Amino acid sequence: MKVLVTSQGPTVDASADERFGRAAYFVIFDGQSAEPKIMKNPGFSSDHGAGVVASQSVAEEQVDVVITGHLGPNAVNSLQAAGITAYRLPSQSTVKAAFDAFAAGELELLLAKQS
Amino acid sequence: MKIAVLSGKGGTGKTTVAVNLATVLACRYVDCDVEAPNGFLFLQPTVESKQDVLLQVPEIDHALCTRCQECVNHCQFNALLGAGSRINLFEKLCHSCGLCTLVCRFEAIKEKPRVIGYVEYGKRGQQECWRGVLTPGEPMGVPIIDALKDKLADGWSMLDAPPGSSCSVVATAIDTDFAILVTEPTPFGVHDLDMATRVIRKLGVRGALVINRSVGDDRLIEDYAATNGIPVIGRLPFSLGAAQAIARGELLVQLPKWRARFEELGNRVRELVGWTS
Repeated sequence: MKVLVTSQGPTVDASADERFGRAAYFVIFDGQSAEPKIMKNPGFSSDHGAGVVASQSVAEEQVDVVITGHLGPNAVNSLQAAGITAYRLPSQSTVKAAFDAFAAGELELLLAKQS
Repeated sequence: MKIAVLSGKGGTGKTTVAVNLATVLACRYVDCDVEAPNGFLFLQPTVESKQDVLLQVPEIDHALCTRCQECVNHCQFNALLGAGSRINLFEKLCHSCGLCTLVCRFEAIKEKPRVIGYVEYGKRGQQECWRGVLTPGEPMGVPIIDALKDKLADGWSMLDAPPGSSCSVVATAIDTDFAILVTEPTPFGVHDLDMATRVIRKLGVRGALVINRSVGDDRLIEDYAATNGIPVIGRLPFSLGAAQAIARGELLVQLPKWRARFEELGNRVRELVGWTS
């Protein structure tokens, strides 16, 4: 399972980013590898439709779960179309702490997967 | 020939100036403030026609679509999502450019019209009145403004612009012959006036200033006008009586003192634009 945390910086110790479409970075944890993949979010600098283009790249990475603060209407519809689940970030969290909280089952559901 | 009424800052009196000036000049009034068109509240024309404004958006035939992503990759507005089992359209992000239809090799995309608002035409006596109305929740006013301007026949038109300096303001002011910049003598007024001034400069449209709600000391605006070489062609006093008349939905030109002020302003505009008729 791939789990993505929206991040303000390109490390696991960076502060998580409350925004999804306009988050600076995506940190992707993959159950099969120890090192997370870190990528820039193309929505960060997009003039239009940040939520859509961010979702598109999340789907291309075959992410199953997104952990973020808020989802806009376009992001909600995009993630639903892509069959992705979202959970809410704990407040004032680092990327690593957010992932650990998710693994411990402590996070609130933000968007259920559409089947 | 078209005159645009702009301000930068909202609430400085664009509509007040536009409806009253159009009335004394007996010219066409055109409300281009499509997100909040309120000129008809004052002019109360008898509406004669109404026409929907349509935007072409793609319609995807999912039986023909191979999900090759060509349309998604070409869309400059991120209006198409290629994730999941089919291509999804976000129609409010679509700018109707038609590129997706062109790049699709499988003829899976056709265009279909979508209503985003309407334009309305009416008459107040002999005066032509037009307005564009954007459906609430729709993000793009420009197609409505373009549709409105397309319908205008020859003769003078007074275009009531939206506030700000965004695409809708540019769409209103572009291809006009003159701009009246309505401002108020406050720091906020002068700040946003400068944005409006820069818009008309870029568009190559000449302009002049009207100071509204003047309380006597208009140095802020006068200094700006002098520095930027823009003539001040009118000064409308801050007046409780005017505010009350506006709140009742009345034209200020129904009050004799205000009629004289707008006639004087109208004469200045005629001189500046070379309006002889």
